[in-house]
Amino acid sequence: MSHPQVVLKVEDLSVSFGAGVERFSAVRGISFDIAAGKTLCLVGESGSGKSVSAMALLGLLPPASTSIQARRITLHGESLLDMRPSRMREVRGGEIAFIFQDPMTSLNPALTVGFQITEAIRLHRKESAGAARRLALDMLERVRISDGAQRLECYPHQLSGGMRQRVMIAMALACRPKVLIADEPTTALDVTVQAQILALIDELKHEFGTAVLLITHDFGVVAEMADEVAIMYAGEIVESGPVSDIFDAPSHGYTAGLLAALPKAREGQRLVEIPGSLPRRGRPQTGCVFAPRCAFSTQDCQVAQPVPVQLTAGHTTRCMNHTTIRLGPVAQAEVAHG
Amino acid sequence: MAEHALVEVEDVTRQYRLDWRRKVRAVDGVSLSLHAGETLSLVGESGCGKSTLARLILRLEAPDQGRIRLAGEDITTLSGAALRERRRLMQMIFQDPYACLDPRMTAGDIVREPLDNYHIGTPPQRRAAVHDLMDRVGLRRDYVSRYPYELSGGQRQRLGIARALALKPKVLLADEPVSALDVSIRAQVINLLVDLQKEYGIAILLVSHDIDVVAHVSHRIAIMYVGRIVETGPAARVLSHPLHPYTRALLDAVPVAHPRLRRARQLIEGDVPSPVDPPSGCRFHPRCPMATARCSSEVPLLKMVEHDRSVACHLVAPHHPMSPPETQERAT
Repeated sequence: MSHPQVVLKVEDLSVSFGAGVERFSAVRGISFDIAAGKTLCLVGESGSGKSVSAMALLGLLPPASTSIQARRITLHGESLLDMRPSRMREVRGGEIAFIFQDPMTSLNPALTVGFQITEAIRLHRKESAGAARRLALDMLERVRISDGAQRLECYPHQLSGGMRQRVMIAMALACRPKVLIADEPTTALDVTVQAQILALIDELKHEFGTAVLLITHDFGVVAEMADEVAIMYAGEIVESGPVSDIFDAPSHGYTAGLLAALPKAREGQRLVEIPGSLPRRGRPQTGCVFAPRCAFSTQDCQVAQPVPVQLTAGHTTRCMNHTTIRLGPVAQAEVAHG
Repeated sequence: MAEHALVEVEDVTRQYRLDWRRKVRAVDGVSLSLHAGETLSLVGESGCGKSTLARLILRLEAPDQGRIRLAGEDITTLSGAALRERRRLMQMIFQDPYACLDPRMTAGDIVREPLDNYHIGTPPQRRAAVHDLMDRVGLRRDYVSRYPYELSGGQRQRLGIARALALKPKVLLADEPVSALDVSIRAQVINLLVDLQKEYGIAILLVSHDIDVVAHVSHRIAIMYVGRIVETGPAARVLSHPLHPYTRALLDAVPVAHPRLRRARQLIEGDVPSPVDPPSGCRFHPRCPMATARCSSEVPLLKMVEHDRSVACHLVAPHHPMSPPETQERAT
């Protein structure tokens, strides 16, 4: 395989809200890049900053109360940071498409599905009404919605949840975006429908060579979809790497803990718990963000902030005890049970 | 069906009126039993009637048909003080710990309220009981004076569990108890429920769509699809050798546990049908890859296929279980 082309590059992105004593930093210095036709899963629990990061890329956060800093955010080499608003509007929805968790709240209830799909096509691809309609019909077929012509006349409330998410995908991919950002696209859906939607995203990704940023908290979805994984905790990427490395050799206390805490059909066995709960606001003053809950933390973890360590090509962790963790009982059990 | 099941549900149906001509049968002829110390999981997708069934058992609603027995006693038509007395034995844990706690009560008041309601003990005894319950679910005692908004999601769910335990129930109905919780908190709450069951011999009816959680905690499983049970049996058997085509499709749709296990799938098409206008015959037939003409006309009944194992499918012969085309082993 030839060297995959990096489409979206993010370096040292920080996002904070408010000012003065009320200032709250939601994301601190995260970096990642996604290549064409690849899926990066951004994994984290509620409040870890994964959605905020994605919205910051597209300037979707309220500018008055948000401060976004980054060394570099580029789409095919073009900087998104100092982009003119008019160009940003072209990029948003055109070159970078977004799918949200709840399709009901991201579709306009007062407009037909057809109007909403064709609107995006006409704006971004400057097509005529007729051509846009043909393209919309074609996309509906692609996402396996039957009776496309009838469905175009439907309002969102007339469709089921799975169907609405398909419409969102059709709309997002109609403009052949270079990047698709999907924020928990299947969390609101039933299992059988989730499998259909994930398969669809994967298929269209291969067909169009789209780079996919998939935001999720579900390790099943990660195992199913990811090429690369970035694990976020309290606003920082604590570990990142190829999906097989993350599952086989988790090298951060948080990743190892999460994988061990997943319920498995091992009757009678207690689940491994991660004690405590997520920090409510930001990070402690010193040390590793995860140290208070970490099964592997040592004295050093409370004091010094860990720096990123490169383990293998592309596999990076921000953990001082990664060697212990890799050899630790948790990680070993994980590897053994695959 | 065993003689002394704690909860017995017999052919229960509940329908709701949508408007002057349309009705929804949320639960349609369901039977099940729940024994002491056992976890029975109701598994199914949205709209399959699993929450309605749980509410019927608690008698928060009355069934249109069928009987519900608690410890051998028929509670189908009980009301008022008699029902209130039986309800002590059954408690519910809700999905959303943010919505089910009164924001204006302190944690201590929330746990004590059931004791007050049933006039159990003297005030000092109640206070001591609250402390014991908080200890039991792993909440610090000084949290008694905190309000729900001061607690995290996992702590709130613990509080909900402490409150449910206050009356020493024999049955806990847990409706998606961990699906609103973060992954790192989920394991804590699942372990707590399993521990409590072992300690007090409580029967748990778990309503869930999360197959991994179900596989971890259940003894028996009932799979529901659009108001009916399509398959029921011991958890390990049902999950490792699903017989009903829907059970198989459901298990096959569960994401893999490890990227190495990725596979090409035969996904079923379409969405879960609305219970307002359910398909004729077997409700799964429009999505079933093996459906025959009979499936669209005749409703399949739950038939015993193995010991303690029943399936509602025309294609699964009683006592001669059809061997599934590709027997799938659930990855651990």
